[in-house]
Amino acid sequence: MICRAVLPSETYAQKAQRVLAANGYHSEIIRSTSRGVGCGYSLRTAGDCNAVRELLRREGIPVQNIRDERGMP
Amino acid sequence: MIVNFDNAATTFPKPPAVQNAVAQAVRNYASAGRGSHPLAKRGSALVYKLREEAAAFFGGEPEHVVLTMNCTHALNLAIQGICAGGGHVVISRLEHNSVLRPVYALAKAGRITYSIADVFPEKERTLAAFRRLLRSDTKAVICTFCSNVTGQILPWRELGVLCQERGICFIADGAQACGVLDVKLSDGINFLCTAGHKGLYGITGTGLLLSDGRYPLPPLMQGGSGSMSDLPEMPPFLPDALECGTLNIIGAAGLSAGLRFVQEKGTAAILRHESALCDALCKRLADIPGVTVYRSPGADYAPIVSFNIHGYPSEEAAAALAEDGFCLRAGLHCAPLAHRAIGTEEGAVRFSPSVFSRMQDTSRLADAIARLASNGKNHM
Repeated sequence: MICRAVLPSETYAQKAQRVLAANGYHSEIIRSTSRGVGCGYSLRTAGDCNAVRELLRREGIPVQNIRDERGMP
Repeated sequence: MIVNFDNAATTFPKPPAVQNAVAQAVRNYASAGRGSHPLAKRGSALVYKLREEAAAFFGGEPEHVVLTMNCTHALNLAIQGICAGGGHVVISRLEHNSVLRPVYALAKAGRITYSIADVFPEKERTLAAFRRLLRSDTKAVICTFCSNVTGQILPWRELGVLCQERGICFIADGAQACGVLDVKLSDGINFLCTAGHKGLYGITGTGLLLSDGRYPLPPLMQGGSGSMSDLPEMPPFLPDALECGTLNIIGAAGLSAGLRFVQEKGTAAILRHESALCDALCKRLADIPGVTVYRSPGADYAPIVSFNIHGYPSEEAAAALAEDGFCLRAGLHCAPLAHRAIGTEEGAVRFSPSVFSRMQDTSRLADAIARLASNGKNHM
């Protein structure tokens, strides 16, 4: 399962990547541009979205949106 | 041969690791946070590494580390931000113009009032002086960890506790302390401002503002942040809220290497080395008639010594020492308040060693000062 988490900044994306790596998750930072927000950062992670969401929440990392690549939250 | 004893301005020479990191960065890095291509990712990783290293060194979170141009920039961000809503602030009598000038400008514009706390050799008296000035509308205490003129260390941990008890923001100027004193955000500091190019051995054009996240700050400048670009305002989260424009990547590489250098050496070891040089100089100067050293018994000092030679205005003394190859800064050191506090309104000569300074050069400097002092009465 591939999970996509949208984060507000590159700094948070880098921090999230570190947190996930420390917990055994490999991830990739992808830049994106969306109407109304502009430049943003997604973290593409091989893993369950619920687990990823909880891990990032515990570390105080703000996640704007998180869903698996099929579009399911 | 040039010997730099003006490291309080900028440390020179830089460690080989910093020189190499800067040279490598010029060759291999472009920008950060401006794209997802390999060059941009490389730069972004470097910048994040610096944030992590600074957060680990001083305490705090990487996302609360803001890269600035220098300590003055960091202080202006914190001071102007905290004072945006008005109120009263307290500063010390030893502050550099990077604290005094923004505070004075805000007061002159009618936006804040301020008080200046006396500083004494005894910590308790200094603390009491600050306490006496706190009011119900006091927004912040803004002060240096140690004076850039005398080196006197202020009771920053006790001030941090006092501020926390009163719910007052504590903005600390770490320009002279970071890299030699064991300062941490957890000392009750809300904003730690420092230079990258002094005791952290980075290059000029770098500084850090570390926040504990408690007080949001409005930006001083607006521009591109590489995030939320479709919004007309700066992003509301750190560090993006306070960083706009292209970051100084080369500087970041140097500062990262500098932090690692200081970490490896240890601030305690650096302080011991530099203090030994200051103590040796003070001992020699005490035996030279006509030389006044501005240190008080009972006070604690960072490794900085200011002195004057009778018969020589400070700039002339420094010029004469420069002819012998010794680089020392004279005058007011951008800290007229401090000079007024110690009675040197016309300036003094400042000795500030680094981890690379040597005892034999310090001894030769003392010899040069002795020669000048012996000519002093004939000089005026």
